[in-house]
Amino acid sequence: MNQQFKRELVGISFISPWLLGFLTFTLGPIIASLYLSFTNYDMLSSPEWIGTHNYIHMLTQDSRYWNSLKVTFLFVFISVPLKLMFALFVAVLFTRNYRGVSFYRTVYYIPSIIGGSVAVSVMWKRLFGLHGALNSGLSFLGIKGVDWITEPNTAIWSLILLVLWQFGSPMLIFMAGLKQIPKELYEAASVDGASKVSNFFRITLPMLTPVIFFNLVMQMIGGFMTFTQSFLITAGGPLDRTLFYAVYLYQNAFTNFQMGYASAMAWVLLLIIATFTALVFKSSSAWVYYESDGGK
Amino acid sequence: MLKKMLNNISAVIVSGALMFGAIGCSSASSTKEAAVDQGPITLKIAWWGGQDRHDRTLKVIKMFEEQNPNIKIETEYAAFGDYWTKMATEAAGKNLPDVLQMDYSYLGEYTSRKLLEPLDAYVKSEKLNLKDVSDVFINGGKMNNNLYAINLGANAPALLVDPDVFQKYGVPLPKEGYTFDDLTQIAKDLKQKAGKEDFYPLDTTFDFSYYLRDKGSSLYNKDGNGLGYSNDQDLVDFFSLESKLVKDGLMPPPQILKAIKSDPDTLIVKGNSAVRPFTSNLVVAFTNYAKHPLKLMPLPAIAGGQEGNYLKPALFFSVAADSKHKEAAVKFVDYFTNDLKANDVLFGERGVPISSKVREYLLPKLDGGAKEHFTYIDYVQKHSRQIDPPAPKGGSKVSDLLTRLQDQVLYGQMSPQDAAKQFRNEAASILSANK
Amino acid sequence: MTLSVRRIGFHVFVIAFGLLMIYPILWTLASSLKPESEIFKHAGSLIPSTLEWNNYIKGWSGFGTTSFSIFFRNSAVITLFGLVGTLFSSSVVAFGFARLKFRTQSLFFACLMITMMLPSQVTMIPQYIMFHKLNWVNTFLPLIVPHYIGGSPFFIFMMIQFFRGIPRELDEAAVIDGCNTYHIFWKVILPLAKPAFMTVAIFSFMWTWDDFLGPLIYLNDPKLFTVSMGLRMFSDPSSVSNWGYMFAMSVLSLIPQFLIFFTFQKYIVEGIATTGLKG
Repeated sequence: MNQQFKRELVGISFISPWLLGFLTFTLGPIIASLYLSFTNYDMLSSPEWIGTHNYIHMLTQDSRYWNSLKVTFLFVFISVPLKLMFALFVAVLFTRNYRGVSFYRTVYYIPSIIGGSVAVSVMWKRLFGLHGALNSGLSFLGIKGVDWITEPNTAIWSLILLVLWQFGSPMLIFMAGLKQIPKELYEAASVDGASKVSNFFRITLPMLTPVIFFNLVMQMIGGFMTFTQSFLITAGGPLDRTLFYAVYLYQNAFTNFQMGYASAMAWVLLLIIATFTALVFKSSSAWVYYESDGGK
Repeated sequence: MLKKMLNNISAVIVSGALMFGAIGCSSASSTKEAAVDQGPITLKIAWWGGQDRHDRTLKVIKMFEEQNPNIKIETEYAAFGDYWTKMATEAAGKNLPDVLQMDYSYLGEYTSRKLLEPLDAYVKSEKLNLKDVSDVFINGGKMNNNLYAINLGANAPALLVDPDVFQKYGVPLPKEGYTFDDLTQIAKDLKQKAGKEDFYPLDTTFDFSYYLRDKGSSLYNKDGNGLGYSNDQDLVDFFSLESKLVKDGLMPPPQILKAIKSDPDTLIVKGNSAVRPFTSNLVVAFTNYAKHPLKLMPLPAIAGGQEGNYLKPALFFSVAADSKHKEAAVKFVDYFTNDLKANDVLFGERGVPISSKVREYLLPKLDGGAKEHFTYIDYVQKHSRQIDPPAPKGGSKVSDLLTRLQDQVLYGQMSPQDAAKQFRNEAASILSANK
Repeated sequence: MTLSVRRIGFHVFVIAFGLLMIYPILWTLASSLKPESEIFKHAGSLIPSTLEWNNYIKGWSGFGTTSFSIFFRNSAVITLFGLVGTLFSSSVVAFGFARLKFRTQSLFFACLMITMMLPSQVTMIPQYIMFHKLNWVNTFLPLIVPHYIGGSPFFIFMMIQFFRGIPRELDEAAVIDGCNTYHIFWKVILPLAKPAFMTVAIFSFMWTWDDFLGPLIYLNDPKLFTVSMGLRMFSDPSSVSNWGYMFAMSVLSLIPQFLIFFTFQKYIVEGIATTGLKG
């Protein structure tokens, strides 16, 4: 039993809960879905092999597919950075203990608690509808509003706003990460006479990079897979302006009975997400600082 | 190293086996002779609906269980959208319920994949008693001359009319046999007399397939592998008609229509509209929401055209082809259709009962919207022609395409001519896949 | 002088913005107390004309013989059992990835990440078929067991990042004291990861509580339904919908989540932060 083998064993034993589940519950369905992507499968009868037909059709003949890519990319590259910035800003604001901060934290997190429920979708439609609260407010300023949700040009922005409103999750994670930064670092810096701003950029931000990295990756992955908000509020419309990739995928799978095509879409999405994630991972060595690795 | 390799190989084998075993070959199930069920059996019954329907159906199920102590019933119910996701999943897993509620728009999809049991033998042997049911209520459940679904409530396309609005503005109601042109004129009069910007005489859009019926053609052809109308001008006319109605402020633009996601929210309920094209079984709900009596009339005709109206099964019960207790399943459907006490509870919530005995029994107990519904269906029985066959495979895609193109036209982003042409091309390619 | 003006200004701004944040929730609460006809007729107003407590009473009675007390019980069972599994498996697995070095590590890490990137709709059907063959359909098992075995890649990845923020010197000190790998995990890393644990707890609770796709396809018997499914059943487009009941039950559904968050967030931020380097 050499050292190498022993280390291997210990490592695998620690990750065994995940590994076991992965091999039994996940790997099979993943391989199955890959297989299905090369078939015509309507779930009500057996899959029928058609080779790369799904992929070819998707990439060359399906204009709605390209539209969904455009919508999703637009959404990700606008909402993710904004959401992270809000989350970080508010987390830093609410880190220290002063009167009322506990209450504030809860209030700013509440939108995330309400999540993607039916109630939220109904409520959002009310707020941004033709006779909704926003338009009532605008009418005081003499502006006549439109229905922000059913107007093709504004629909996507109402969804972006919804997602931004729910920045509580990354905020919470930032809060936990901020708490992990040793107080001693700040104390040492104050002995040297450093300012709050300089502290932020020279201590907080660098120590926070593993968490920023995590939030960036997760929000990006989540952003590409956004489904519920569009599904419940705009159903991909109007005129496909909010047809997120995941919504179009769901429609193909369950409305059009084309699970094979949907599986092909899923695998292309996986490639896209994996590419961007790999890019972020690769870049991380340049800007992420791990205390446990002794820094770079 | 070796360990990792073995790990990986066995993982692939296991998952591969699972996958092939699971999805693998699902042969069409043979129509076995229904064995006579002895001993306690469990039936699975599924339906969609709202709280009201769930409560009524569960009561009836209890009554059935009391009468049939050797049958235990497991239930599945959900809202409409979720229901079909669930059914698709169960179909893939080969455990569809024994009795499942079925919709006309899905009948073609499910029968073409041989998931439903033909019921003609049971009707003949009277295990499924349809003696008090006239053919016009039965035919809607037939595909290729086999009966796959039992109508749970008769329904018909209708125009919901708010007599109070007409009275308020002093405009007479549409007369029997009125046309689209007549309706347009009536709408113009109403709009002018009302003088309000957010008053739209027509509450929502029309149904293209009904329009085609008025012209004597249909949306799909007989074999289900192509469109049923040959002149694209028909769709151009239809889109142009709707487009003009929107432009003249007689019908709401899509921005307004799409914001209305539930029936209590519609213009007609709020008193901001006069008529609404819809299906008749909703008259009860709408009357409740509006809190005053509403009337039903047939949809508009086209001068010199054909009778467009038809009786439509609101929904059905079907028996799964894979069911292991077909006799018991049929018994349940028979009970649901014919038993008077059961129908006292159901009270026509799904639609007008198809058995004439049940209708006679219930009619004196009705009032309000339900009575209006029964009366209307009676009228339609005498003023209609055969319903178009159920949508073929790919029908849901075609329907979705039509809606999207209609949106483009009404949002002003596409001309009726281009939309009609695009519809022809794409629908043809979707349907040509059917043999 | 300027300091307290700034402080007041700060609080005013935060409160004002905070009101915007919670306005939608206030609206939901108000709607839950409005009579059905008023909810959409007077959507703009936050004040109900009368307090329609009946929405809560009738809504609670649920469907047929299954009331929301059953739904709440089921949701609680699934969520709590799942929570325990998640906390256990994600911390153990994350330790393996974050602290240990073994050759197959990067391969498995890649697999971990990939499982997060495939939309669940497409693995749903094969997974359902698999669980069906195991006879787990119509039980809680498909909803609970995957938390223990397989865990959630999201939480594993999050824990990994937290663990990597803990200095290795502590590990080395423990080794010198005679600890082996398991001791390091148990005695060094775990206590310091409390903020991470609390975060995982909050998220796991919320996401399991709100999940409806899983319960939809795996649970048939209404006696097994969760709160999330109950809520969806109130709004069926083809028949009469009870919005008042739905809003009322939505409000009730939010309360446990609210409580969990409020309790645990204290630990996250005010927790014992001993990540200092010992002398």
